[in-house]
Amino acid sequence: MSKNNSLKDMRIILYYTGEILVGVALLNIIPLLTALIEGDAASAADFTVSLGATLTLGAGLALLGTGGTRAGWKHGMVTVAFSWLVAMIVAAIPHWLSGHFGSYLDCVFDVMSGFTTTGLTLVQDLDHVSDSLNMWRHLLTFVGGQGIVVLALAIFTGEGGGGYDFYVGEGKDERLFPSVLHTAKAIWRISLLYLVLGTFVMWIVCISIGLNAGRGFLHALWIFMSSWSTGGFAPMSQSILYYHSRLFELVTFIFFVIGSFNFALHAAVLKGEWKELLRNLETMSFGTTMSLLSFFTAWGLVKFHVYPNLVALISKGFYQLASAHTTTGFMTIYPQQFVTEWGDIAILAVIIAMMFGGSACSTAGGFKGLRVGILFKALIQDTKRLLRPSSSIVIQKYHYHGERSLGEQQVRSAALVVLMYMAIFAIGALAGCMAGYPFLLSVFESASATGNVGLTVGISSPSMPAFLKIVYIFNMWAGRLEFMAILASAGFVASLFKGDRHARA
Amino acid sequence: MLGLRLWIRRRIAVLLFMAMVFEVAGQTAGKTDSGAHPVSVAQLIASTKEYDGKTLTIQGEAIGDVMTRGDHAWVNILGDGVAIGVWMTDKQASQIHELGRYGSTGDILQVSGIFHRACPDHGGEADIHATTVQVLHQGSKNAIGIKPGRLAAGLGLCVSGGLLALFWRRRERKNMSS
Repeated sequence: MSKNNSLKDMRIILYYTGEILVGVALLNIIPLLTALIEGDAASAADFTVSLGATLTLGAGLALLGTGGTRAGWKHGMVTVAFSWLVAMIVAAIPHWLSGHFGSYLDCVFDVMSGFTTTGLTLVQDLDHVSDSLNMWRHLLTFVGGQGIVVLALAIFTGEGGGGYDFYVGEGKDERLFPSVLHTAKAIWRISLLYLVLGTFVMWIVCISIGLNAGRGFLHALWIFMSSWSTGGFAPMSQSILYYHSRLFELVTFIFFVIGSFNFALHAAVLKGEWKELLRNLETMSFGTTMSLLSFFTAWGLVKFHVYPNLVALISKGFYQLASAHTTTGFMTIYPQQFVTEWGDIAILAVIIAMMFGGSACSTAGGFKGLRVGILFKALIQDTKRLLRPSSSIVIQKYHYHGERSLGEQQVRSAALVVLMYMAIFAIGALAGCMAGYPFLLSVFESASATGNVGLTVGISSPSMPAFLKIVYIFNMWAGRLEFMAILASAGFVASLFKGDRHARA
Repeated sequence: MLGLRLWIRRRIAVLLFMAMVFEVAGQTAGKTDSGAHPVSVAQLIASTKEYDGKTLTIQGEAIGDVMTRGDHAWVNILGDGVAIGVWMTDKQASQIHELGRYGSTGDILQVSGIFHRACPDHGGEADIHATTVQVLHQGSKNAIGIKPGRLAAGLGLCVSGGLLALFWRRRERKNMSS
């Protein structure tokens, strides 16, 4: 790569990163308004700093960069990976100014956890955090779930800016419409429609369980944002346990299960294609794995006499499993109870659920139901091939927004992503063991970070070693972007050095 | 000889009395007025099986909301960085005046009651059904003042960011028109 080309590429990447940062800067207006409405001048000042700093950096980068050029595949991928890291650093400013975090590393951990809809947190004294900071944390998780890059680009660039590359870079590849701009807008329309309806329903529930109208509204909004994004953040340190309500659990369960479904499925259902729900490979895959893992979880919990009755078994066991499988991370038990009460069978079922995750092109993490389904279909196909004469052609069909034939390329792509998930999951587990945590707990926490889940057995805390925080940040980032953008960025950086060497030679 | 025996008996009696006093003191040491074992919330959650079904006492800050349900209410008590739900009567909850939130420290409560590792009445939650609730210290509002330097820095950054954004958009418009 020549020096001139490298510089040109860099300027394109800087330009789009700048645009994305301006989008992140504008998001600060919502918590800023929250602080102003509540008369919280101290927090308002914090968000003014954050808004100003992010806007200065974003607009500065955009000015340094080159706009108006059609971004290619490489630019899209590198911009996504790079902008997520820069956004993580600048979006942590309000966290740091709040005084509720032990270090800036803890702040960026929290932001990456929010953006990736993970839900692990290193906040201290969450129960005394300001409403504006809670608004910011939940807003990041809501926006991160739908895609910050796609949102920013849809606002600023419009059609023709190589949007599909950015869209794929953020771990989504489903086009609801031929145009990626329309697809991004459709995703946001669906999410905002659910936000309004969901917040209203949650608000009624909050009032019915004893919260006053004002606090009830804020809690309803935040919990809905978190449920829909399969995020897992909550405004109180006890997570969902704070509310002491089966009704609250039921409603959040419905929202996070819906949130874990593919946006294309939402679009189909909103168009009246209800049958897709029952025939879609992803929903079938989710239903099958959820049923099997529910059986093993129940077995484990009953074996160790963990819960006294069926209601408790569902409220704790089934809820936690669903929270894991949809990669939400809401908790109705204490982290320590996983360790001291649940037993190995139930914990293992939860770990597997966290790895499988929700649907592709949704807010959920993990391998994704589509890949699990494809690999299972490939297994059936290969078994059939073994049993039939070698001359016969075995065609494996599956339903995914229409009848499709299973191709080698799909199987290869699915297997590669699953393999890479397993690799970084193993790195996270190894890092946990190296930090001195027991094997099963290290595996659990790594599965949670890599799958963008947020359930914890207590390892993720301000006191954990800094290197483990960095490993988990990497796992959350890589797990959310599904590797493509990160691999492309690594290739780009390598090509810069290579180009430099060639130039010198 | 008789005097010596009497002296020995008296000493034995004194020792026995002291032993009884120490025994009683030992049994009551660490108990509260209600006769329950005091335990920190963090310790309780770390050893749920050990304390399951026992009557105990916790101390901590009432946080968030008093969530009334019929003639009872849920109040979450924060102690040593860990919070637990306490199921108490409306009357007990009515003693609470200040709840811990942003900008306020909640009342410090002493709650005695039965701890359930997995409460059969409340969906398997780890909770405490209170028998007595006492306010040890009244909570207070904490004024959180604005830092003028921070506000000035924020406004300065907003102005610089706004100007840069203006140049950027102007350049874009110019590029588009050309």
